[in-house]
Amino acid sequence: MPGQIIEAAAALEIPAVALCDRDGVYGAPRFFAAAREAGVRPIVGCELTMEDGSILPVLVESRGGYQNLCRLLTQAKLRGTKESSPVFWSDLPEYAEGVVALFGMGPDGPPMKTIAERSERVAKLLQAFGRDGVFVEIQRHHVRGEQRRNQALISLARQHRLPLLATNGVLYTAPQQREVLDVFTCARHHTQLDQAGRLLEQNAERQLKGAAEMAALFHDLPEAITNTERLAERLDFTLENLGYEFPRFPVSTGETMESMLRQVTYAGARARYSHLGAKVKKQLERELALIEKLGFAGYFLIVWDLVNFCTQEGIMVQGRGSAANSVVCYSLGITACDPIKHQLLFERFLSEGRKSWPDIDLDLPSGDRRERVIQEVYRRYGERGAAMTANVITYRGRSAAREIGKALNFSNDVLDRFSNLFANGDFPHTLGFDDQMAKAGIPRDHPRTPAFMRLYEAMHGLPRHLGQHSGGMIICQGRLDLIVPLERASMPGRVVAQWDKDDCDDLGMIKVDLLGLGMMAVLQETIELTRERGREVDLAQLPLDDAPTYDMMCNADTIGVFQIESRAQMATLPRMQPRCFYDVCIEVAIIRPGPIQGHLMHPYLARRCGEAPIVYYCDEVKPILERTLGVPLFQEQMLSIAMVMADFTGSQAEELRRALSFHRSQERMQKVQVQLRESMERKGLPQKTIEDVLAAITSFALYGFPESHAISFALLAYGSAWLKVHRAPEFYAALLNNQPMGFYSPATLIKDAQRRGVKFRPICAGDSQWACTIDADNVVRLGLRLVRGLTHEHAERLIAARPFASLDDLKARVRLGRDEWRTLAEIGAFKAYAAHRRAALWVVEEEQPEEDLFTCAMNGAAPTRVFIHPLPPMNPAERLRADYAGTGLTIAPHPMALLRGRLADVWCAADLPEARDGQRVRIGGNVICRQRPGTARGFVFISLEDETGISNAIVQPWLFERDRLLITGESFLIIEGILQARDGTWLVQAEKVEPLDHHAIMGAQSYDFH
Amino acid sequence: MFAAIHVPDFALQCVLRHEPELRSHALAVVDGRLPACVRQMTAAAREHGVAPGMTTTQALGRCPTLLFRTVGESLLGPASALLLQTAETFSPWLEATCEGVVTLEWRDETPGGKARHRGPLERAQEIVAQLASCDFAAQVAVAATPALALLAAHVAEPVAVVENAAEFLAPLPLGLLAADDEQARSEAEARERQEARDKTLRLLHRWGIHTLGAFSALPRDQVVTRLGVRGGDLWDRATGGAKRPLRLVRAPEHFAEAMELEHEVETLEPLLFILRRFLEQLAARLLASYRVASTLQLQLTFRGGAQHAREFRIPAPTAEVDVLFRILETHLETVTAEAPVIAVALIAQATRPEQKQFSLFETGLRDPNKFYETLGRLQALLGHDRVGTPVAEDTHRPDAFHLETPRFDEAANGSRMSIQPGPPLQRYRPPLPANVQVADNQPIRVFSEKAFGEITQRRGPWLGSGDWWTDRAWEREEWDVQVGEECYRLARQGSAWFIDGSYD
Repeated sequence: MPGQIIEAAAALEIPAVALCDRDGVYGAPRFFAAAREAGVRPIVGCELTMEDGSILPVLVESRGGYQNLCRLLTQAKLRGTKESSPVFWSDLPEYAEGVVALFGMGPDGPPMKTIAERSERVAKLLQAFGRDGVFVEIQRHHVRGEQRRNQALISLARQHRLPLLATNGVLYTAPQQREVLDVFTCARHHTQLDQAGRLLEQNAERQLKGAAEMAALFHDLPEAITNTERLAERLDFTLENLGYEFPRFPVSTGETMESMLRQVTYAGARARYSHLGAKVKKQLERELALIEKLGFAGYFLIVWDLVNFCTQEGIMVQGRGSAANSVVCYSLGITACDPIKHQLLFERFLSEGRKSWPDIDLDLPSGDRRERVIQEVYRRYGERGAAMTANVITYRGRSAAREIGKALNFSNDVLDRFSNLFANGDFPHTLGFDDQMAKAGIPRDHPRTPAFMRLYEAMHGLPRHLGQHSGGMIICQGRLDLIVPLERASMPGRVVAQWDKDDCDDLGMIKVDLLGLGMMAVLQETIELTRERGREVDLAQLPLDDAPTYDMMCNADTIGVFQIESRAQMATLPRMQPRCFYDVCIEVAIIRPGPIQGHLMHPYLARRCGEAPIVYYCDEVKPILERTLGVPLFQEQMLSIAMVMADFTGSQAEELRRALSFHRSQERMQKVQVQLRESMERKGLPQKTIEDVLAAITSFALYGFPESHAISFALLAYGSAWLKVHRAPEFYAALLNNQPMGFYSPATLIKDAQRRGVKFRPICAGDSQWACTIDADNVVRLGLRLVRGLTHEHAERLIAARPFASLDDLKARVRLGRDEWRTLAEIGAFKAYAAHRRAALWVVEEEQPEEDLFTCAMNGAAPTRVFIHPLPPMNPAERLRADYAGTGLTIAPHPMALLRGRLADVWCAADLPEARDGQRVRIGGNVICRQRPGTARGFVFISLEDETGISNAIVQPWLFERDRLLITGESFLIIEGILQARDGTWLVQAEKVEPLDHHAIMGAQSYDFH
Repeated sequence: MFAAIHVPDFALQCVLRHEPELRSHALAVVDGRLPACVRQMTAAAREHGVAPGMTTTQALGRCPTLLFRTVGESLLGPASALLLQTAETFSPWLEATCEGVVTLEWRDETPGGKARHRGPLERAQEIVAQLASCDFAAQVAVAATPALALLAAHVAEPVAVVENAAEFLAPLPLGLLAADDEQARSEAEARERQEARDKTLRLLHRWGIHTLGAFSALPRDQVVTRLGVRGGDLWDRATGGAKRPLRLVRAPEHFAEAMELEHEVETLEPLLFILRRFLEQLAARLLASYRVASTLQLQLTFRGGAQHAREFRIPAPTAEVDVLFRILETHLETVTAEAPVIAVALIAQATRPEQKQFSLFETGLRDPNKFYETLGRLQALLGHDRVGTPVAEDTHRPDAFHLETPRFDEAANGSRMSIQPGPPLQRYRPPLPANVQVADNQPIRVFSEKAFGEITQRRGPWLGSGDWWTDRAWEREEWDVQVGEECYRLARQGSAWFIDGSYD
């Protein structure tokens, strides 16, 4: 890791170190940042993979050289494939200026055995880089044979009068890290340590070595050391100023970006506010002045322009995050919540102390609409002017264990078991490493266990591969490939930069996050559907005091609602009893790891219910915390507390903001904490108060949540809840059309809708569209998109060929795949043309002669035949199976209705309110939710769905650890335990968990019920 | 007339034959494929809800105490051989139809004295009894066609003779058609056929067809129109199928004798007595089939479960009892065990006798068996890892090699190791311990049996380390030094110094 190298270099008092990543400058920003901190001079370099397979290390001398390297790498990457993108020898002369090349004979690439081959390569390098730009690199690793190789290099250097350079080809910082390198070697060669033989390192001499050690190593070649020092001094390029410039927004003559921003902001503000009061004007002026002072006007205009594009294209867009604290953003239409009305702290978004660019994230409907916006950005700024930021995927538990296990020759079965013991999704990993090893079948005294454990620890967190950030884009005035090398992403039409979003941020590059939000797509589609049916809704004008909407929330009937549908949210809603919009904001923010880890959830709810007194850290913070009953829940409150209680200045508050945002930097947080503590102690605050405030801040550092963000999300949560109550068919249709998203499967959404009185019509070859549509008031027609395996193209073909006189006619005029025919028949899509599902199946199974197709196409409709179908009709269980197999859902009764007859002692979800608190009950059903919030101290929440509703259970940690595989692996469960009936919620405290044998109904085949 | 022998849960039975104590345990058999899935399981495992097709993780979720056994060819191969060899005693016309199934034909002229004059039911019962003596619970059915016999064998209790095919077949589950009814030419063909058959059967279930009767009630031509020729073939099988010639196989050419000893054997003499008897029987069987033994595998099981297994290659394949016996005797003289022997197995791999004549300039061992016998004696004396031809290992560990038993029937492989340039090193094996005086981390004087005195020149150190993931991790430092007129390679491992060798 770059940081580790710098740390080691600083410890060894090495003044300068070069980082040469293979075919990129991936680690350069972190290397640079760490080096700046440690006082070591970083040198940017790269190992280029050449077209002949050899490796050419190069180092950057100047900014021009860096730009050349970036362009060279971008050219090779965009020309090649993701797997192979070599640099051509013929590329070098054009991009060699400001770059020096090192000639050596490393272990990679084809060895240059003959003098002629070596001379030829030197000649190529001299031609490209000139006499001052080529060095001969020698390394000594105490390996037999290297002396001969070095002698050849020395002769070559003397022959061509080239300077020698002493280096160590560093691959790790400490000798023991060679083990990890050996494992990586095995991964690269698809082999195991036992088989790798001499592919492995011969010794552990590739660590960073200090000046004295290097001088001793090259005591006979002092000039090589001197040359190295001289070259290091010569290469004075840093990433300090890359010349990055955010694109300027084009303005008409006589205008400046600042004046234009002022103009459009005021125009927007007038539209937003019916009356521009003094308070709004004052805030606008304050913000505009600061934006102008910091030079961010162009940035706001560009984001505004992008939002305009979305609006023109009919794409719903909403700014999230701290931008919602700005009245300028609100006026420009970037955000949807009024910061004046909600008294939001502008400093959370922008302050004078701020050095980096503000963060405006745009939420867009996921899917095609978002991709259109991304492609628009590429169109505007060019393939080499815009890029997605990268996402560095690091080795985590599963991936590290698998790689190590393969190298150590553990069986795949054992590794599978080890991986399966990791928690999924929401489950934090609580199983101890030793226990996990034992459960996976790796005994403690296994001879390779110590190596496994060492490597597991060492590999955790090391970079594995480069992915693509979900929505972060960087754009540049001019060419982005002069700043950072760009490469092709796996996704067609996407270009990705070599740095991740934090690296870009550190280097002052501006990122615009274009995030895809499934719920935005749902809301947009719901509104379109309501418009089609003449009962349009304007989300911005929704009444925020709608009692039925709040009633639904209070009843925790929130499946499908944005943010408040999770198991933990649903458990809190009946206690929270939200009755106004701000309650929804708190509800959104409260079920977060931050507040819960700081033990702040319960105090808030206790105070809200009147079970605990409302107290404040001190009187000064009362205005800040009054809205949240004295409990700090939002980052803005934290900043305000710091400003009031610790007298933090604007720049200190900015440092705290960054610490709260940078959850990866514990160090940053610790520094701020020291300042906070000192300030509060200086003010003479009681020690307990200081500790309480610090504890709250620490918890926020992990998962900070700004109030503005909570309000933005609460708008979506409230909007989706309102639509669920008042436009249920459109809302559910849109939810089904935008799967996968949210916590619940389409099957659960349909059952939830049915419980709310929405009717569904089955998929029909003659009537269904691709998407789910509204057939009549309160009736949804399921769409063909739900049919598993049916391609969009084929479905459109089917729709275009309507109407059909008969199944024969349909079969003759529509070309579908064999499996598509079968699935459609089995789910009853041909019910209109056949007596029953299997009758249709019998017809579609028949091979259609090619000439018949032609004849039918010529003659129009095919003649209708009378069929004799010998197959028996499906019984209810078979229909259920066919529905699940073909669509993953059913509009027929829930599977539990068919199983109920055998479950005499199992309570229905709807009957639980009749049971008394403390009664022993058995509940059963399809597992629709398993959650293990990190906050719940190892408890697991399970939701079981049956034909009457959803019942909930809580599993204690010991029981979960004992039955972990059962609980996480079974799709139907029976849970027995004691019922807790409190605050209108019914929760079974599990004492026994057993699988519910549903195979008799659902068949032995595994269906995806999730 | 055809008889099908079907050993249900064959893989599981193979495991339980060797570990009968596990019969009452929750045990599942998995194969080596990924993801590892349960193939077969004991009744106790089934009671816990373990079912075929589950992943091992799912199965463990249902039954945390579940034991797993992986079956492979090493276990299934010998058992399949035994099945064939048993069947061969009832008819020479055999087909190894699929795993755990052998189909045999009884023609009017079927030889085999003991079975010839009995009816099909008695013969079937006799097969079941014979396999039961080998710890296999088999089911045998006799019918007019191989396909019918196979279907019937799956439901036989444990024997069945089918007279009215249609009546017999009608209620049987469709799943019975899943088993291959004909021997495949290759593993790939078997796999491909299995996949196609499974696909068709899944489709038939989707049609609502769950019994052979329901399937055969569908018009064949309509079935073929929808399911193709393979569907037609399956329909034929569901109706009992046609008479077809078997794809004849011979019983495999290794012969095994095994015995679980009623009285534990504690000394060599009775063991040798048993082995001699085994060899006499094996030799007789080998000679009867005009074969000789190319290898002998000896397996001894001791009280407490420990095992001793050894394979002996017979350089000049033979069926001579004395020659084979001497090989075993030589080896056993060196074997010591802490527990008495409770089971013995001897497996002879058969081959055709070799008729070989050396060409004029070709050399060979005059008596390979004698040579190997000598080698065996040496191994007995010195240990198995100390006799053989050294083969360099692909590792950075200096002088790493292992010994392999020399083979004379293959062209000698050249060394894979590249030759290091420089003067040749004459290694001392083992390296000579030395006392070395060090100054400034460099050796300056050496005191040893070979080299003694001041080091006048030195080059190094060369550092090496490896095998860090095993308990054989090593780390060493090497120097090339000159002492007087001689050059040596010095090595330090830990704090100890050695002289590795001298340079010519």
